[in-house]
Amino acid sequence: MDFLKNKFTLFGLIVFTISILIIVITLFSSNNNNSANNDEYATSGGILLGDPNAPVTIVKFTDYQCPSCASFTLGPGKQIFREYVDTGKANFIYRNYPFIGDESFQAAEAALCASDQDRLKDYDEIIYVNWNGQNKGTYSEKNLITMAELLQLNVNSFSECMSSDKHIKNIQKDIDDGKKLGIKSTPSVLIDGELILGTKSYGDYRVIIERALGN
Amino acid sequence: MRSFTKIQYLWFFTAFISLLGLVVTTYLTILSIGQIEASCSIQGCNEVLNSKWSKLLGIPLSFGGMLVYGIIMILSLSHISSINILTRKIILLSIFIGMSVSVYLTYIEIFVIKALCQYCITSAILLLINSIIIIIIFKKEKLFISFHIWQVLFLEDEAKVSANPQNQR
Repeated sequence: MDFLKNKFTLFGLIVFTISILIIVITLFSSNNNNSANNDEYATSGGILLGDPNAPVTIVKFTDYQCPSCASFTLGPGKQIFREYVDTGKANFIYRNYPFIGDESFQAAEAALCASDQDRLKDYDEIIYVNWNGQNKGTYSEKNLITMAELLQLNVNSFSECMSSDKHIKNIQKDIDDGKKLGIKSTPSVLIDGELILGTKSYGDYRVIIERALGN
Repeated sequence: MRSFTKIQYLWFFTAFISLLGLVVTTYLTILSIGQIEASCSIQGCNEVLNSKWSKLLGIPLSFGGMLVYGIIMILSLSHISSINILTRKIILLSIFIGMSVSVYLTYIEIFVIKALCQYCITSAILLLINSIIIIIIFKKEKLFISFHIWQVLFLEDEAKVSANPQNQR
C-alpha cells in the first residue's frame, strides 16, 4: 500500500471520499423530503372545483406532457373526485407546473381557456387521454382546438382565449408558487398542505384524505 | 521546482478527466436517488433514470461509474510518483468494465429507450478519452507486451518494469 503515501494519491482519496459523503447525505435527506407543509402557497392560485368550504383541500401540480400526471388524473385522481369532491368532503385545486416543453405550456393555457367555459375537469381529462409522447406535436394549437370541439365547447371564444395569452400570468404564478413549495417533479399533490410526490395508489391518497377529515 | 516527464503529465491529465467523470457520475447518482417513482422530474434525464436499466439490484449504475472514475483518478495520481504493475492492471480492468457497461447503456439509450441523457453521454465520452490516454501511456511505458485484457491481467508480470530503463524514476 505504498502508493497511498504520496500526496497526489491522498488528494485523490480525499476527493473520492467527499463524493461518497455527498451521496450518503443525499440518501438520508431524500428520505425526509415529503414533509413540506405550506398550504399558503399551494392554495393562493389555480382553479378551484368543488365546494369552497369543504373541510379538505386537495391541490395538484401537473405538466400535461408528463405521463405520470396522466396516470394520476385518469386513475386515482378520478376516484378522488368521485368519492370526495363530488360528495362535498373535499375541494380540488388545479395548478400547472409546465416544464417539459412548449406544448406543456400551450396545453396548460388551453385547459384554463376550457375553465373559462366551466369545463376544466373534462378538458383536463381529454388532454391526458390523448397523451402520445413528449414534444411531438400532440398539443399543437390545432389539436387543442379539436379537443375543445370534441367537448362541444364554444370554439370561437376558446380560440380567442388561446390567442389572447390572457392566462400566461396565472400559469406563471402557479410555477412560482410551485418553486416556493420546492416542487421538483410532477404530479405533486398536496392534501391539506401535505405534499405527496409521484403517483400513488388511490388507497394511499384515501388514507391521507381520511386522516385530514379526522377519521 | 520539480519537473515532470511527459508520461507524468499524461497521468495528471487522466486524473483530471477522471475527476470530471466523478463529478458527472456523482450528480447522476444524486438525480437517481432523488427520482420519485411514477413521476416526471424537472431535473432532466427523466426517461433514462426512470427506466429499468438505470439500476442493478436497486443500486444506481451511475454509482458504479463513480467507483470506476474514483479508482482511475486515485491510481493515476499514484502513478505520478511510482511504478506499480498491479495498480496498472486495476486501472485497465476498471476501464474495460466501465467501457463495456458504457457502450451497452448508450446502445440502450439510443435504440431501446430512444431518449438521450446528456450526463450519461458526457460520462461515456470522458471514459472514452481516458481509455485512449491510458492506452497511449501504456504504449509509451512499454510495460505490457500486448493489450489483450486477459493477457495483461493474468500473464504479464513485474519483470518488465525493471527490464525497461525508461520506467525508472
